[in-house]
Amino acid sequence: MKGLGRILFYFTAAAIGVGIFLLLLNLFVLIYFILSSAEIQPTSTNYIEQIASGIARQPDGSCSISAEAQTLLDENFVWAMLLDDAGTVVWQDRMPETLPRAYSAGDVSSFSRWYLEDYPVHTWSDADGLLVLASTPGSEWKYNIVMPTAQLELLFRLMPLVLTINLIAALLLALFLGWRMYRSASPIASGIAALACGEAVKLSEKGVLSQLAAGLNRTSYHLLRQQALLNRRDRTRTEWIAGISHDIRTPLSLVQGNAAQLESDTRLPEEVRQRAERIRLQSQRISRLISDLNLTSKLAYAMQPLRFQPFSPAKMLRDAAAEWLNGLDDAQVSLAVDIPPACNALVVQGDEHLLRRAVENLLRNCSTHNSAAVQVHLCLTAEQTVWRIVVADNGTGLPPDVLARLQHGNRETLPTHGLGLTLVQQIVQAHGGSTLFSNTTPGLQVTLFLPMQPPNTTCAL
Amino acid sequence: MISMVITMETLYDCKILVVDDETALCDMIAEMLTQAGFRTVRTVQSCAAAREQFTAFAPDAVLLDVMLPDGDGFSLMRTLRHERDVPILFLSARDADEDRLHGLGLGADDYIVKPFLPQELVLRLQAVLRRAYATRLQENSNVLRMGETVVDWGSGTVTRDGQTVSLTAKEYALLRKLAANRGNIVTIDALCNAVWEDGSFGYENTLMVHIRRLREKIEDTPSVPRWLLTVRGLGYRLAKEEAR
Repeated sequence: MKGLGRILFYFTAAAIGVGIFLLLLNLFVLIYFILSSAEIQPTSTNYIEQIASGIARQPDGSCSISAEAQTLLDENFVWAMLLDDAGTVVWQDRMPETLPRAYSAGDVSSFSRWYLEDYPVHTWSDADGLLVLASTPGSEWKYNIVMPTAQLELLFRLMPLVLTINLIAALLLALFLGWRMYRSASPIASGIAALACGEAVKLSEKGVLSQLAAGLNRTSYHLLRQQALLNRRDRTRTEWIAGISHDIRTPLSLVQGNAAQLESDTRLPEEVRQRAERIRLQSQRISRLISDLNLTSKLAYAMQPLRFQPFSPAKMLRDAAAEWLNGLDDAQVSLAVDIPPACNALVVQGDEHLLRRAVENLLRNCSTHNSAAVQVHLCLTAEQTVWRIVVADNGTGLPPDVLARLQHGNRETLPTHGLGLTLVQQIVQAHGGSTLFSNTTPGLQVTLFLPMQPPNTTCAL
Repeated sequence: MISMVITMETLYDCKILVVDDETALCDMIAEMLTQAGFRTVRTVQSCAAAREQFTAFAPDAVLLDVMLPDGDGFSLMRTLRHERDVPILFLSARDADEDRLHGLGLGADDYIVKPFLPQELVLRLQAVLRRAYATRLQENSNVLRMGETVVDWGSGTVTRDGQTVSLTAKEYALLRKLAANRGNIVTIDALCNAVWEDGSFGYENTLMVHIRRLREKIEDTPSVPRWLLTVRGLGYRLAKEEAR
């Protein structure tokens, strides 16, 4: 929602910016226009003055015009007349016949302000009389503005206030529009957040952003459908593996049980009993593989329920180690357990059963893949928020390809071997922890880093 | 309990009923149990047959598969228990924790996941039977032998070199726990739990004191123990006789 606040801010700022920009632009254009027309005005006035000065009234009453004034007159006006003080035309040039040749004071007052028979006229008064110059009808617009000076002064004084009010109004308007935008965009934003969390989105498809809402609704529908299909596929796969693992257990019981019976049958020759032992050991391996495969597929597709409960990791490690040692046939494996006294009282949150499975896998890995006289070191340490299990041996270490896969955490492909260690990684990751596999010289060291409090799996955005 | 073998001398006199739809597996289990010494084992393949035999055969313990052709083992257990309270062990191909916890939560005495080793099955069955019929069993092995040293469980005494000393209650409980798992490592936690019935850790030093006193009673040279061995960092182990 912070993002939306920013959008609102930018929206308002942009609206105000646009307003100010347009205002300034218009102001500049106006000033330019006024300045440029102000240039014309004096010139036109100059013409009239020049023409007026070019007309001379003779003592006999007739008038003469200089050539220069005549040229200016021809070029700029359609006709001209000179009135004496009595209002009689004493001189004229190209004056239409229809126009009267004498004018009263009222006529003069009227046409000097408005038009003379539609002709826009300009007047110039000097000692010779009143010179009247006419332009083409329709070429000029005349309007007289009369305004009390006090009002004009007030206008100038109020100008800053009016501008301020305008600015505030623009700001409020922009804020209002922005808020409306925010309100219609806010469900869209929550919709996108929900989409990112994989939740269903059903927005109302009304208002300005209806198309966006509809698009989001469609996206959500398709995403959920795809997710459902993927889930179904994953579930089918996991159930299939679970089914196989279930069905194979009874025949495996028979193989294992019969082999074990043959193995312990003293009437049989030693060689046969050894073969029976090999069958028993291999069938035990198959049953572990099946069990690991089942759990790994459940963890990979998040179908293994995790039971996070407080437990003592020291006790769990001792139980797992004791069971592992008790199950070993030969006593050549040496195990050093390093649990500092402070860790005995340590209680952490986690799925004890799964973590024990991880430790069992690591210990079994030590005894299965190394010579009988392997030395194993099991260690527990704890810090403020993290606790650690280290299982190290002095055996042959991991093949480079298995080590690389475990180190880079490639979970895209199911491992062809090293399933037990992948399972360890998955269990630790399900607890929000991490694993470190490294080949030491000699041997393998595996460190499990685990948080005291596993994170919740809810979407955190 | 209406019908019970009155004269049960050893736990091998217990009658065992095996319920599993897989005939081959039934036969194998029966053979395993017979080889282990159980004298009376009967097998059936369905719930109906199990209910019938439960009355007719009156078993002392039932090994029960969870998935049967005409019902599930969990419901069958409820029915059987309603009739008579006998130890019931589940034998299941379902290893999910929920199933295991469900079975044990319903009051099953053990939950064994297939595939299992014959020895494991026999040991777990024996443990359940021992627990259930402890008072009735007149087992010969009422003594623990460690070379020339003999522990009499009945009187709670140790006899060595013609001298007899008594065990304290804690020493007795410790030795009993170690003897029950003879040959195997028993963790410090399990020992503390057996003696103080308290899962919490904190008795380690007290435990060491009791072990030292126990060694003084059972070992020829307590500083170099021959029977009660320390497994560093894990717990203790009571050596088997043949390990000498």
